[in-house]
Amino acid sequence: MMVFDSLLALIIAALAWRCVTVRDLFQAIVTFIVLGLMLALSWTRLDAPDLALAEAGIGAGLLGVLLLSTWRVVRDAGPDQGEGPPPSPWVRTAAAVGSIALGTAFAVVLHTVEVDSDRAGGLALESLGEAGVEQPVTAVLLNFRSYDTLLELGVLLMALIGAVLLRSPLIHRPAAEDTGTESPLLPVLVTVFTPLVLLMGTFLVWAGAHSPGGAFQGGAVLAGAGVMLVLGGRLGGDAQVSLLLRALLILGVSVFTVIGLLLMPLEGAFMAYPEGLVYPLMVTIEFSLALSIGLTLLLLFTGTNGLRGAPA
Amino acid sequence: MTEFLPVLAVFIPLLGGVLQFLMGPRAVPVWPMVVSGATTVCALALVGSVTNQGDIQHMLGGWEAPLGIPLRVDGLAAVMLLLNNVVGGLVSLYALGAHGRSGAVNSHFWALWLLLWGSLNALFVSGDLFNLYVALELVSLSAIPLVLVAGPRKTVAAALNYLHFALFGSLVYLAGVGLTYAVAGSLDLTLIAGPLAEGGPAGHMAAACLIVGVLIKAAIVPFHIWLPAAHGNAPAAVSAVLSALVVKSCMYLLLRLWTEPLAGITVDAAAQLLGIIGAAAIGYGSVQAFRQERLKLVVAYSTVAQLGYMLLFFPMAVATAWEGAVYHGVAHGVAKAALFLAAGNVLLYVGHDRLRELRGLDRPLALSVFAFALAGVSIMGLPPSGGFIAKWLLLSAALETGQWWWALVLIVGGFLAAAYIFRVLRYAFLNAPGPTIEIEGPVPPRLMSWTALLLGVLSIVLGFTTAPILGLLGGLPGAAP
Repeated sequence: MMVFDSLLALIIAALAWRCVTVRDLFQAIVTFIVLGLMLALSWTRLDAPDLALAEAGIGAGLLGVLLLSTWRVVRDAGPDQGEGPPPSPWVRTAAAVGSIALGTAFAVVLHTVEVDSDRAGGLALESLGEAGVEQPVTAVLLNFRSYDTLLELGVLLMALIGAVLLRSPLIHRPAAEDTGTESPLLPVLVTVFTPLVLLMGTFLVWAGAHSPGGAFQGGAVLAGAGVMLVLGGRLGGDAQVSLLLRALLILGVSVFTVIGLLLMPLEGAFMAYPEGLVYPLMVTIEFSLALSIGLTLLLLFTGTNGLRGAPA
Repeated sequence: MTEFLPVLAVFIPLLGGVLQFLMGPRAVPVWPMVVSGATTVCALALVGSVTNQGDIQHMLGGWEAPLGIPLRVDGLAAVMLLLNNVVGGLVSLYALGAHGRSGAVNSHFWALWLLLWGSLNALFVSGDLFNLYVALELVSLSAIPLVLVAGPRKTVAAALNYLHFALFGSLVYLAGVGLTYAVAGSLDLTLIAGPLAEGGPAGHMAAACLIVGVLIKAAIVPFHIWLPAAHGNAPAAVSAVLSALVVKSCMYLLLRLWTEPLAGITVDAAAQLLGIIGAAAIGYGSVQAFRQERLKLVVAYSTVAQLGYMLLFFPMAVATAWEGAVYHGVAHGVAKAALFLAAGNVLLYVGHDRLRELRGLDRPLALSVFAFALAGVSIMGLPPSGGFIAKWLLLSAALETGQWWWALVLIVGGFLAAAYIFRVLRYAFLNAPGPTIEIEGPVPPRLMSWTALLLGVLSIVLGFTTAPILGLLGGLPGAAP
């Protein structure tokens, strides 16, 4: 495995180098996506499958799709808008030297750290019995430190409103030649794969209680299914946002908050769950989170206020 | 009941903002005003109970630290909550005039502003290093889209620049959080001080990352270059919040980190360096403010300068300096909100804010010009005003510690502030060189003039409320009483 790990490290460094230095925007984006996949592999090697799933789903998958659709807008806007003047050599040198210095400093400093067992992480593993789920990462995200997760969901909503305010330059309109309606293969692919992807996303959410997975990873996969439908022409962006869609977008954060607030007088603390109800409450929360996360990511991709089914 | 108040102070506005997004334009302005009122009342009740009963702690999820996240409200947090919610409530009233009509953009404004309000409260009550990172992110990511409310074409460059700096600052801070956890094995603010102090080079590196990250987010020179464009082009209510509260929340975090978790690790050289950076910010920001041709840019550069005063605490680090720095944060917050709201009224009436073409503004906009002048008194540090008390305390601290050069900085800074404030007032009154304004736009609604004036009056009143506020703040943490 030593050889494999060194090879992986070398590939990651080389991809990162290429991603920064390559002149063509499209190549840079593709390199970035590959880099994300390699990083996901490295998380697996570090025994962090949850991070690997998140990195592959969000870092490489969805972010790649967003970058590619941005690239198309930039390309269509004409050569004047796409290619800004390259940063001055001074800026680039300063950035390179700064990054190398910071990276080296971190590497050196981290080697001096002695890790003992008396840590919050160890305590979390010991307290897993009271958390209601067997998977430590889910226990931390949805129970021990659920407040962080709840606040992070606010970030998604803010990003979405920001995108709506900015909307005009980012609208994704699949042009006639992009929807691929002429290819006989695409409708079949969309028909066959979308249910499978939806199933996989749902499984990932449900699996979060006992094995790697969870709302963020599952939500990203659900958003991926949506992206497939949009690209296949089955689903389209709409300028109007329906009340139902808005309700689904805020479902996760509302369910999370309201459960916490309602139980607060009974349990004496915000986001404390009564014994016995922990597991059902967490599954409810996790599924509503996944739905909201998936829809938010999908709307960030379409760049529109709402969604509508396209005429068949 | 009191231990629930910190949670409510965070989630009334947060949930209010989320529901505003759900209900859309139809809910404007009734729903946002209800939420604003409830938030202010709840936060003031929280501040009141801290005044009466001392610190409040709430362990989220019922988990003890270091497993769970604690919410803690001590004197410093209570003072910041007081500032945040009084200014926030008044800005909401002002925004009722400016963004009170139904419409998609106004609905988004209210959703984002309520989310930002809740995020700021979350930042002030948090007692956990990583949770503070999340709160910082929330504050930035709700503040940046708010800039876009003024119209994307005009503001997208400023907002993007703001985003880049905010994300870079977050990354550096997050690196510090990661290192801290590696060294200390905990993220609770009260548990990490000891391990960090014994952490050797890793502890120092963690402290440096945390401090630099916050400095970037607080727009301290030389990381200020995003601030004037963002604060100068946003709608008036947003500019007021950004300048009075958002950058102030980062300064609060710096004071909190320095005096508690990093207390055992900070070195004198770093403290002196922060003082020098503060002095540079005061000098550079004031000179730039004097050179601007647009009213809102004068006020924005004034923020760059005024943030420097709070940095003067670090080299002195005595109880008087502590009180002076925090009081300066409060006084500047109130005065700066008044300045930006008054500037917003000018912009509404004249249609532009080019200083040389504002002659004769004192007649039609008497209330707003008066509000500007009152807040200016506090910015200059003239008695009797909040700014005077803050600068007096800092001046005493400089003499007490024998570091007379900081006293010099304070005095020169006061003269520079007087120069740029009087320059604005000179242009606004009749004896300005330019032509008298002829275009007469809509007279700002009474609500918008009076909220600006009320904030201006408050910045003077702060000169007389030193005892209760400093009593609430309490002494310098860790110092012998």
